[in-house]
Amino acid sequence: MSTTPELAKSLQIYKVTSYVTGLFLLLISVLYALRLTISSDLWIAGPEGLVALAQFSVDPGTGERVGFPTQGFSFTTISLIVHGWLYVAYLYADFRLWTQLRWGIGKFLIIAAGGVVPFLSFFTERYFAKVAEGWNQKSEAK
Amino acid sequence: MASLQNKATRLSFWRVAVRPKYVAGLLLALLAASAFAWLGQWQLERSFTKDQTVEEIQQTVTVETMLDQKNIYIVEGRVQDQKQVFWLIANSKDKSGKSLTLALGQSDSLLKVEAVRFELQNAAIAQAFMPTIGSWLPTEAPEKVDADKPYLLKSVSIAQLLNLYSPDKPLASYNDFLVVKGFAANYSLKLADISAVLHPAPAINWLSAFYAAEWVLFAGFAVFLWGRTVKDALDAERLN
Repeated sequence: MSTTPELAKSLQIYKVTSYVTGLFLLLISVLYALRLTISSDLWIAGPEGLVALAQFSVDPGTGERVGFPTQGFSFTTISLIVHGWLYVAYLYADFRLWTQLRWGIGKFLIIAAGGVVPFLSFFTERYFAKVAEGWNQKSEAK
Repeated sequence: MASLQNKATRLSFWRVAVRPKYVAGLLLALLAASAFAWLGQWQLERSFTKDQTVEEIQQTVTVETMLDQKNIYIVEGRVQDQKQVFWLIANSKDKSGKSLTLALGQSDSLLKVEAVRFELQNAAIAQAFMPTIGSWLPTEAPEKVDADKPYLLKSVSIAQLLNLYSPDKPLASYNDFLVVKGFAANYSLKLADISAVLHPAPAINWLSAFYAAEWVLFAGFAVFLWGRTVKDALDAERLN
């Protein structure tokens, strides 16, 4: 098994995506909490300034959020979209590592859960990076 | 050695795939994939705001109102029958003294609406509560008004209007405004009725659109992942 440089690269991608996705997940957790508690989105470049809270009301007929400013955009929505695609990158990293180490499906799913459960990715990253590094060193010694 | 090679070639992908463990795995993967696809479909439906049905819009109510002739404004940039029109709106109060904004009528000529506004401001109307028939529309986001025409607004924002109606002290108000049908408060208005349309333009819900694409990706990936586990099992057995 001479996959060491490739594995090292997979590990690096995994570590980076895991931190970025984990941090973004915390960000959207806070923004979503604002949405649920004070019915506000973080609004960029609206009439009230570069960064402001924009309060909305929910249309009882359609369930849509209405009453946002017509200028600017919702940072909350953008963050949710960005996190979604960071998660896709994170899954790709998970898949690379999982394939190269021939892990069972359970490990793949646990790592995948890390991108959607707040704080979990930090623990999974610590644990699985260590496991993978141990494996890497063993194969180097051979 | 020869028999080992034989055994290895006989172990094809599908021979591993049909084992009960991997058939069960495939079923799980397909289940996950269809769940993801269903979520994608649901998300896609949410991506485009549906047009309001006529019944939903046309629900009418009757409120007893008294017109506030000092607070009559014009709203520009409205669309009706694919034409740019101007709305005439005015403050009123109901019997409990709550402020209620009325959208009275429309025309595609600003000059005409301005003339009617002037007329209505100076008309001798009995100060009495009159039954007013109309339908509700939700408040909109405030937009800056040009200084040279302070009465010409760009949206119907209740918060912004309340500041105009009563700059010094807070005023109790309804959260929505009433689009009036056939305004006749002891005065016949020379403007056509507004047709109450809740959403002037269909908007795209970008979050839903992007999530929908992701669900489709995940659905394909679930099946691909299953194939990968079969291939792994095959490779492992070939090595041994």
